[in-house]
Amino acid sequence: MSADPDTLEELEHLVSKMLEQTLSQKEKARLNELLLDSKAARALYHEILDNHEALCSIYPGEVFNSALETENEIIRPEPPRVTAPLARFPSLPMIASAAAIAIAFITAFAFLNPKEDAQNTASNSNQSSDTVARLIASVDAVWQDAAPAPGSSLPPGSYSLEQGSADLKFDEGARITLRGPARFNLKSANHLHLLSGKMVAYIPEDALGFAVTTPQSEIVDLGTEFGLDVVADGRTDIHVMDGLVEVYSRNASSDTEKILQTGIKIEEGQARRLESADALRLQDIPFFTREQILGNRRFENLGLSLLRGSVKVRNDFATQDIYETISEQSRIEVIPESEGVLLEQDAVVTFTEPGKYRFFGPTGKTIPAGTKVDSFLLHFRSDEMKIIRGVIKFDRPILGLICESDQLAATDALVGLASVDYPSASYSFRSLEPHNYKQVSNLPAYDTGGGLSADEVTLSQDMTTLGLHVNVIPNEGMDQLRVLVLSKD
Amino acid sequence: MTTPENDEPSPNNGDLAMEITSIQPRLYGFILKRLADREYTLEVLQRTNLVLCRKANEFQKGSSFTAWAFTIAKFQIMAWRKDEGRNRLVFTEDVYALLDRSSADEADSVDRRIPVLKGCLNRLRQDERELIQQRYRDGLSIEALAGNLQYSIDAIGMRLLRIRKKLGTCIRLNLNTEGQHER
Repeated sequence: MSADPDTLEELEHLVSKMLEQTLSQKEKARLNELLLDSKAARALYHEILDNHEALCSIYPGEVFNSALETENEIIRPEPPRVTAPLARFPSLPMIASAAAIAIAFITAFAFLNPKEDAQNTASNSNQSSDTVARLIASVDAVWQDAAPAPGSSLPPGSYSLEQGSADLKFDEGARITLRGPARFNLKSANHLHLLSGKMVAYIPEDALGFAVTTPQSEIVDLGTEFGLDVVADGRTDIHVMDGLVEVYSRNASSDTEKILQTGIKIEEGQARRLESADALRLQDIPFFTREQILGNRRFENLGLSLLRGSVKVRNDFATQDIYETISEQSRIEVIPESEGVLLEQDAVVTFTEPGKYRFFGPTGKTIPAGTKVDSFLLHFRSDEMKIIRGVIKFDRPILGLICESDQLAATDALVGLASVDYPSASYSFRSLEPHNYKQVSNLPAYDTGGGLSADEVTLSQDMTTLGLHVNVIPNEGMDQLRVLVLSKD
Repeated sequence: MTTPENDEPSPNNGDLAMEITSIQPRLYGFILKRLADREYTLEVLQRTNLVLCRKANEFQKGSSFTAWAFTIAKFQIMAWRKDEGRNRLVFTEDVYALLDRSSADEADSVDRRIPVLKGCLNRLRQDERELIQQRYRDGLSIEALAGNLQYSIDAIGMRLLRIRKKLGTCIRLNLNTEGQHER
């Protein structure tokens, strides 16, 4: 029962190792011993683990990344082992390929968007049997053919991202952000062929051996992060942000190519250009950072940590988009607005607390003056009669939701985009419906998906996650919702 | 048409999906405390999620979803310990029993820590906060962190231990002062 400081010190060490999954058998036995003998040790164990749980709640990466990593293993019980084209750097065994967690997790999301799942399956008939990567998120993405939804699995094949950016996570662990226009081919879970466009690859240690090929080169990452800018049949620029990269050429007709056949190494902070106008040439060029290659408005900078369902992030929103519905636009668009706006007076909002809301109307809620906020406009239009569903998780707490036309109008000038002419306050259809119970009784059951039904908004207990079921009149209606989150400044 | 037994999504499944999603970190923490192993925890979390989906219609609206989910998780942990996990247990039966607490106390303890921890995270040094973010927000393993930062796994482990200690002290201090204000 003693609270011997050495014992507690030892316990802290062991628990820390446990959290990092580096505990040996011997240490496990010792942990048992300490916890069995000392009440103080047990109290400290609870304290550390409660703190860990709190930390996981604030930053749920450990939980959700593990889920994403293993999702595919469930869909296909025996993932086909794709042989890397470059056997020189075989992948290290996947570290602790965590036991499949995500079945129920996926099931849960499937409820959210059964229709979309059906569509995805239809467009990629071999999707479930053979996928190599997952689309984690996209910003302003316009795809030439099939437009994958965030969260969907991608089969091998050719893709053309005409504009915007897309974040992919390969099944073998590599994370790639592409900036359109980009044409690429997903060859396998550890091989991407980039025909043209810009991208940055982040390769965690357990995905080492991931290969990117371009028309001019083969690039093997020896650890961490590099960027590419490829002009088809012209040149490949390689910028190494972190770690070390090796570049090879497949042919050996010129001197440069002979050098490249054995490989050149490019180190952190260096950049090289491979030109193939006539013969292949190699030259030093100024180094670009990740931001310089990808631009600033990327998913990771937007303050969003998870998107599910029919959700699309847009940075190119313009006035006409408020009034026009383009085909296949049955989705929720997330439009990042102003950041770091200091409220000079109390801002009138609709909701400030966790809960599920089906009725909208003035609530008297406010966000106090002096608060600094970032704003996101959510915009819903539809070209068919169906409920649009989505989940959006922010990486900072939501302070308030604005669902009312007059409240939207009152905040347009303050937090809206300067380039957009927002509808005037009299445009009352802009808000979510219904506003009272009477309106509800005139509506068909809300899950029919076919008629005008009640909008529904759910705010999670921790105020970071927003669930949406919205429904607008096809091609005519337009609903908007503004989310104010605590500014990151 | 829809019987309670089949898996037809009911109108509430969308909300349930969201509740289940948002409670994942808490369930993960709850199970991890009892199994002391990340892989086994993910295994049991998956089973718990399945049961939560299957038993969705048994959830009493208006009651605490967290409490309900924790109860289901507890049963799944016990089942796992008796069955598949039997040969992989970290904690002996004695220690497991000694560590058990009431789910409500446990949930409350974590609930109180979250807002305090947010403040404490802001007080960390920039490099410390970045490491915590990479480890927790980005979900990078200690191996990946060691690779990125070119430190040994042990060195990263020590840095994380120190930061956890620092956060722990900060939380303890602030939880206490909070308690004094209430009095």
